[in-house]
Amino acid sequence: MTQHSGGSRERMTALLEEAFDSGALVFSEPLLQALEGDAGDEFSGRVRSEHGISYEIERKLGRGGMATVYLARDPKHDRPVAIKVLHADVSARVGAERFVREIRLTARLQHPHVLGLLDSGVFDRDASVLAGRPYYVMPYVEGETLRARLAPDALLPLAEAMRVLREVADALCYAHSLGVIHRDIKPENILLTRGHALVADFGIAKAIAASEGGSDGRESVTPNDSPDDPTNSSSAFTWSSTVLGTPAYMAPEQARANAHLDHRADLYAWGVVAYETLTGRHPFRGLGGTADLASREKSLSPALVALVMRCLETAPGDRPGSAAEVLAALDAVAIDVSSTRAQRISDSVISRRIRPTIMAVLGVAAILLATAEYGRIGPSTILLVGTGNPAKDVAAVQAAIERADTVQLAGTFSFRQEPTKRVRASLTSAKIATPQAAQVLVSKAVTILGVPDTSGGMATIQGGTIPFYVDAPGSRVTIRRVRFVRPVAKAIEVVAVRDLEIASNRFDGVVPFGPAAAALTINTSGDFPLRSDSGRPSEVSGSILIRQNDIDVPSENAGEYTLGVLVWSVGRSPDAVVTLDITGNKILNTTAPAIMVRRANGRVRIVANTVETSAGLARDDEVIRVANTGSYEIAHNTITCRWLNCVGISLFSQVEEWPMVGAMVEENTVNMLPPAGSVVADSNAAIEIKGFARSNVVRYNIINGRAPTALAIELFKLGYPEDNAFVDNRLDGFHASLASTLVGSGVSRTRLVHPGTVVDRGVSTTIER
Amino acid sequence: MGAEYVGMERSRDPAEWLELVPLVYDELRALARRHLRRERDSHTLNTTALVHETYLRLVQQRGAQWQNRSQFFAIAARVMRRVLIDYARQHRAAKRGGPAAIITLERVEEEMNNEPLPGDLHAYSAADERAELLLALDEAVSRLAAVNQRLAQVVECRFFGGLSEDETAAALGVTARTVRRDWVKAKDWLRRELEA
Repeated sequence: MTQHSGGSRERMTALLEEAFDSGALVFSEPLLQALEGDAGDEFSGRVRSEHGISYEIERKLGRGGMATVYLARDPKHDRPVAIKVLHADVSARVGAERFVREIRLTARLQHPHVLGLLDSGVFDRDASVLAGRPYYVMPYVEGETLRARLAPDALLPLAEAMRVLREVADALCYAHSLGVIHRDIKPENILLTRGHALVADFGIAKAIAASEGGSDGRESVTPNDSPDDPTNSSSAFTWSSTVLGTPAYMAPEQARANAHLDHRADLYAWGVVAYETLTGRHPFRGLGGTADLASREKSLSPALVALVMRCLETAPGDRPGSAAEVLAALDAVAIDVSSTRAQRISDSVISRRIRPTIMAVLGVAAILLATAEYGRIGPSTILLVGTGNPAKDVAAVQAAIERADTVQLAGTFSFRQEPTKRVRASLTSAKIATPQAAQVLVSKAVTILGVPDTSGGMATIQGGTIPFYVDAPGSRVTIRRVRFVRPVAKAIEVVAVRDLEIASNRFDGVVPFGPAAAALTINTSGDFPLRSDSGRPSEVSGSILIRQNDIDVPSENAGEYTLGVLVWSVGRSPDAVVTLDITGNKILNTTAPAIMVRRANGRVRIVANTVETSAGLARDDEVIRVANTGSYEIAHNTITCRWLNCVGISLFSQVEEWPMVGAMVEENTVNMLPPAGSVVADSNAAIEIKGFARSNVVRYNIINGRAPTALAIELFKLGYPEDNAFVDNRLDGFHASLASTLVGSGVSRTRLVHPGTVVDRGVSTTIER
Repeated sequence: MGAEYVGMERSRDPAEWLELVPLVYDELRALARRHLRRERDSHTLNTTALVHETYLRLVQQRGAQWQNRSQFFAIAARVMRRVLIDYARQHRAAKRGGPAAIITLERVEEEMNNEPLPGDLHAYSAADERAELLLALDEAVSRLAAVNQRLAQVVECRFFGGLSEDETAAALGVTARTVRRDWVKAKDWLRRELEA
């Protein structure tokens, strides 16, 4: 107990005073109880209250910190009831009469999710060990407590968890409206019956506090104590910290024995319960669970995560203002079903044991969810809040990534400083210039997850030269919901990984290094892959998922190139096959290809992306460019080309050994919108196939705007395309200056179905009109 | 007894005292457990009552006699300290994996500067934090004994043994006023020591 951070020192002072006041033995009671278990309060038989009401106690149901619960029968109404009897030491302290008076104030609570109070009183002298002890009677509810359902390896189904949390918030909302604060919300006090929640023990903690803190409390002081015992003479009672609430669920102000608690202490406890219900673990302290917790969090909607984290704020003022607000926020939370489903497949891979433990709250600078069994296993989740100071932020993010399975980022981080993590020489020596070093190195499996701040703002990383450099051979890396603002060169550079997910991020601008920059590159070859040097493609394998990112990378100076997503030389058959999904991304204002894939050994799906180039520049480039092997599906994309000489989708290979075979290009919409009045060169098409390309199919695409041709197939670098087909593409809204479809010289056996106007210089072209 | 000076019984052979300690230990521990199990119909655990009960039982069992009951109280207080500290150690050991670590940003930075991470203790359950505080107090009282033996004895009697001022005074052979002053001084010293 030698090292103490601020909060715990305060707690320690309070504890020490309590120890001095109560003496070592009394002080140790919880300790003894923890070791000795709860045998000894077994009781059955008839008991009578001081007011003559009898109950037939059948058996003990359980024992809590303040009371023991018995199953009993109410003979008058012939119904089962649950009777809670305060522990002897608690009743000795609180003054029974006062307690019973206090608890009556809460008896008026009537709500579908509040467990009501049927009776209360004090047992009479004949009640054996229960004599003189205050009790209260509640309906007996068949079911179980939420605690019983919080097995770490079997989480409540999300829908049920949400319902329970909502009902608890509803109960709080009602009770707070009547001025009743619970003060001891915890899973043990939440009963689940027929799928619904009932909150028990409303106002009990308050009743105890009031009865021991008030003048009546003095009556309860142990008569054995000598008159000058400090328990009597000291003006401050410190009992409260021993009985009011449960430490693990107590709001910080409550743990400090702050007398002026308000309803927001309940919201804090609700937050702890919500965290535990949704993830299977306590935010501060482990229940010894097994893995998959981080992945559960990933599947939660960010609005829900934000709500729970807000409730867990240290300062009451930073929490939601009322239970009604929590309720409204909960109702607004839409469960992200699609992401849950996508997650399930990949998550089953992870199941190593972790032992989550403690969360330390460090004011505004940083919150770390550290889940360490010290010295043995690294923390599993760390939440960092950005400070805006690059010296701190870069170091903290780097350290967190090295330690945690999941790193949650919230707020704004600044990465604007000299990068120090060296990147591979193959990158820096490439013709496309790459900086020598990057900001943060990701070298092991990790999930980097942006968490929205209280106003819903995305976690943001400002600047930085390659903020994340991923060189994590054989490891799974996920980066979600992070916003990158104007990084230098690229936001994310990946050179080695197995299973990668880059999803729901925002890329706001890039600062070119040399002439070029990209939002995201996955590149094992440095320069584009050549037969003589195709890099280390086997180091990027598995499922590579790039989805739902929002990329906007305008270039500010002529002669600079900004790209969206670049993937070069990944996967190796058959031992390190890759599946590359580039889906649902929005890519705006690139001045070079928005999506460029070269040599992917495996399946490549480029689906449902929305791409719009920068406007008006005299660029001569391709918006989606795929080349050199890979089984491609390019479908349902919407592409708007605004450059002067522009190709919407280009499939090609210049290398005979790496042909482009069997690609399916279908149902894309390509809008060719060159600057008004410009003259477009002959070579341009909305969709083109070039070079060593066989058996590719381009069908059902919609092509609008103007260009020399809509569809083109041509010789490229000694490669003649063979056996390709263009079928049923819709060209109604397209104006061709040369012909709707162009088949170049030497191109063999092209099949055209409804091609519009055709210029055919090929060999054995078949045309169906 | 009050402010009356009561001399310590010095006739006993120290070996006999030592022989007595395990007996007192077992007895106190068993009594504490029994008290805990029984839903006590009176009040909280009361050390003085336990010590008295132990004394009576030992007298009955062993026919042992103390000319001055007070000296037994001093021993009982010391033994009670051991009983509780053993409980605390047992509790700490029972917690699989030992104390949990808090990692703070400062820590991360410290480590970045190649300073080792000290293991921080931070207990959250009532039992955890009490166990840790008891162990810390125990160590502090041992340090206090090196500085001022009598203050440490007063803490042992008043805090661990639950003895009243008069009982403590009788056991230590000083006046009740001295005990009161010592107890205040000792608490101040311990506060400073633990909160430093």
